Amino acid sequence: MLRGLLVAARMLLLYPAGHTRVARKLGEIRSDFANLFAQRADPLELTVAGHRLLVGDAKFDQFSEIGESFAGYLRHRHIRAVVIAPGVDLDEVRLLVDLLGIDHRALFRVGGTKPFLDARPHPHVQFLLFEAGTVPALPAAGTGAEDAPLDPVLRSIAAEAEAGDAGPPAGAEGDARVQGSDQERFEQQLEEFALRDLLEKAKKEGEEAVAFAVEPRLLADAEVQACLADDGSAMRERLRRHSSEDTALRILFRMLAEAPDEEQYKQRRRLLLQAVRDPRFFTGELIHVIRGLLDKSDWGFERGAELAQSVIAYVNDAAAVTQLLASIPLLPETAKGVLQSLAAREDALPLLGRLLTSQLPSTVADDLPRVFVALCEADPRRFAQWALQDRATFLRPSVLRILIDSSSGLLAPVCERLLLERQAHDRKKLLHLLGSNGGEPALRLLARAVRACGPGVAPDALQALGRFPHPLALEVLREVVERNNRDDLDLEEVEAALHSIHALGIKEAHAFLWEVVQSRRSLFSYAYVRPVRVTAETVLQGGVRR
Amino acid sequence: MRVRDVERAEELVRCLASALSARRIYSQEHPRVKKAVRAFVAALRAPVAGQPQICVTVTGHTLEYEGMPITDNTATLRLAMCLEEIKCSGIEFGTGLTPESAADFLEVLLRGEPIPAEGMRLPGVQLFPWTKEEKEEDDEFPPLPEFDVPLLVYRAALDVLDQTMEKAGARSDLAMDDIEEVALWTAEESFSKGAQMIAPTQIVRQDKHTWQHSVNVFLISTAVLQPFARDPRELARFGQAAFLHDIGKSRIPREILQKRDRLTDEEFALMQRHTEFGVEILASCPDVDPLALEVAYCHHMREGGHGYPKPFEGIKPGPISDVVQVVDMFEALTAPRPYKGGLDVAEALATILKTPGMDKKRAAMGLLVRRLTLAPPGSEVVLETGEHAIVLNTHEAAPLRPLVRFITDVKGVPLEKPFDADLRQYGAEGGRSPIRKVLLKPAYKAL
Repeated sequence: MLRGLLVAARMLLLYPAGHTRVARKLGEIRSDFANLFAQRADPLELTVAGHRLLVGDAKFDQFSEIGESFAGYLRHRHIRAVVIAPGVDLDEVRLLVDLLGIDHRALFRVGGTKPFLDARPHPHVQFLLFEAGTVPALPAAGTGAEDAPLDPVLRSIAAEAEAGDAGPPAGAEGDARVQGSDQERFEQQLEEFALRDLLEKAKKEGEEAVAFAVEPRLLADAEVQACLADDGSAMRERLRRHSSEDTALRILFRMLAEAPDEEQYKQRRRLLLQAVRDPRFFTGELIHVIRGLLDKSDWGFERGAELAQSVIAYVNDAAAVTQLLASIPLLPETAKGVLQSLAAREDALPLLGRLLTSQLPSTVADDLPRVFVALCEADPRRFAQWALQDRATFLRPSVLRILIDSSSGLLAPVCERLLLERQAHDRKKLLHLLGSNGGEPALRLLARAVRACGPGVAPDALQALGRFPHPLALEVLREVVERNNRDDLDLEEVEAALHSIHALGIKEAHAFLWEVVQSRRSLFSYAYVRPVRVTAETVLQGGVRR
Repeated sequence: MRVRDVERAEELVRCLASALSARRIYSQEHPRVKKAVRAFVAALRAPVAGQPQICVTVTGHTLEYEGMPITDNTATLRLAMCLEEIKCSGIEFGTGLTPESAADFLEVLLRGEPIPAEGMRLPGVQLFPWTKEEKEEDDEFPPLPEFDVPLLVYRAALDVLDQTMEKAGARSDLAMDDIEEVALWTAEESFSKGAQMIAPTQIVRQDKHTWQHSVNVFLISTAVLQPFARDPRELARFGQAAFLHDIGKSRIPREILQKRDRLTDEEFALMQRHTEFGVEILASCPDVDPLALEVAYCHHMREGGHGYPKPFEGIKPGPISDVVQVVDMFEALTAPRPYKGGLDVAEALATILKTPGMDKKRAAMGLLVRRLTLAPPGSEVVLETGEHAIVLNTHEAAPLRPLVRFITDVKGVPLEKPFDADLRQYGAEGGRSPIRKVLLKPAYKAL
């Protein structure tokens, strides 16, 4: 009977108060009581004595676990004893079950046991309560089952019980049960889950669970519940903020710093340098790490500068290298080392070309042109290839100026190609840069390029020559005029050359133009063909080119 | 039939499978897809067995050439599954295959729709439909994808990890393609199947495979992290990091790894170095994912100087490392060992919570428990009332309040009319579960 009462109380965890299964269970308990009192006329007295339960004066030893559990339930509800007299009815059984089923903390929040009992008549059941403050403390908790927090559903059941309405909550049963379940579907599902054999086999062998073993009541532990309450928003925020690239970078540096021997150091250094070639590793963190290396205050590296130098040189992204060099103050010798390492890279030309066009600290910027020119001189062919491919960088005034000043002659083949190019934009830009340079090396470069191009040279090139008031410029332009002194001349070329000669503004140029206009070969023939003479005359008169 | 012919057929199928894998991730126009398709077309140009045509048959999840199985990696296994899904019994590749028709072929595979009864012909490719017997067999024994796929993924992951560890131990290059493939597959399945993907970690626990623990950690971590990934690609990245977290152990001698007794101080010191070894192995791979590197190094690092390696300024385990660490500990605690039984979930959690330096990782623990299949579909549970029920479906937010079917009464007597109930209706989330015990093996075992 006691077990039945406890089971019925637990059933309230599962079913609404008015569920048929609960009602059936209550009926069973009532008939058990009826059977008992058919054999004895005395009331049944259940008394709490510490952990134990006394039935009359006897200890409830036979099923001590149930007894202890029942005693625990009564104690927590401040009930010292329960006296059940013959004639107990269904409502009284229900009251007992409700009392055992409700969470004792919830019970005391709504006033305690007495008001709960007073709300419902119970002529055949007498409850003797401990007086306030006299509930004896126990050295240890009982079974623990009654300590667990009770579901709010039970609280609502208790509230209903207090209101005298023990019926099921509206729609509760309908919500809980899955619609349309029947025997046939169940059979089908057993097949579907391949469960039938499994169930039978398991029953035979008594196999243990292989799902994660779980004792659900242990999960009710407050700390575990605190874990379960996390909704994952903090995790999302951390995911958003955390940079595994930064962390990985620091790990690689740290492992290098802690390398146990020279061999390991070399190996880990290789791995680090290989890793930083991955653009993903170039984050703001890298700048901090390199600064730390240079300060020698971080990481315990004695070879910080050397390592920093290598790392910068290995970063496989021109923009990143530029940013590193621009933001990290390097000592002159370190800067020199970095540039030398950069010069050894496969992509040295575009990289250095980019650096030349950037604003860098003087320690780097001062040494950069020398490295660049040295690189070009070492492999002119490669340089030419790069210059023609990477025109955006090549055609920067700063880059070109360095190359012109180097007087290395590297530019000549590139210029020849560019002057024959159809891409007017690049051609004009180059010529403009050369023309505005004004120096003798630029003139020589241009003169060589124009001579090499031969007939069909772009008029812009001739125009650029006109900006150099130098005999060499006149000489080249004269050559152009002379080679066009024939009937099938290239009038556009001649016009450009004569205008440029005029633009030179030197005495020899002016004399040449007069010579073109006036010089005769005989009485009826001139030294220059008519179109050339007419153009020269127009030029001398300050006319506008056709 | 010569060995060389089989190798060529294998190569061809591998190329096709790689192209299919690339297509799963990237668009048709992506350079990786185009490159893979070109490689596939080029592979077909070398005639097999002197014949311009080559015919590959599909038997279940296996591809065969002249009766020899040629499904040798995860990608080819997935290809076979794709062919099974479109109800194709075999493919004949011919000489007219072009990159365009190969791309169309990939689309047919990815669409997953059964091919017409008369088969399908694309330039250079012919797909044969299932035979009448195969159809009848399929009707008679419908597949159980819910149980089948997680197990296949598990087995594939175990195979790939086995090979990866072997290669890492021998200091050869890792097959990153295979690792990516299995991580992506797991991620895709985790997106569609959720916590079901964890279930195999419970079934094959008795296999005692050396790297079983690592694969379990990989599967559980992927499932736990699924809600935090934007798409399967991102989840695959997380999963890959979990997959490789213990790769450094490949350099630890087997006798130490499998030692049952307590490790000596020297052995323990060596074992602790597996995090460093992991970083060394991963950093030597081209295009290593920094996340994998971080997880390999940090998955034993704890707050307050506990764990190993010792914390260092700027090196803080990220959220993925936290999850992998918690799952790693959890799996180790709950897994049965020859010398000890596995702990209960709650006991394991309590143990982790008590571990110094782990108290800040509660969020990861919570996420883990919410994703666990504590009472997986198909398992039998005993309720507080004494009634027995079978779990029909679980709710992620309430792992111990599943949808169940009552099969016995409180005395254990089978019910004449079993009925279903949703245990969420009884008590709020976080309250006590009406389940007293989870009893039975899930139905996977029946496979």
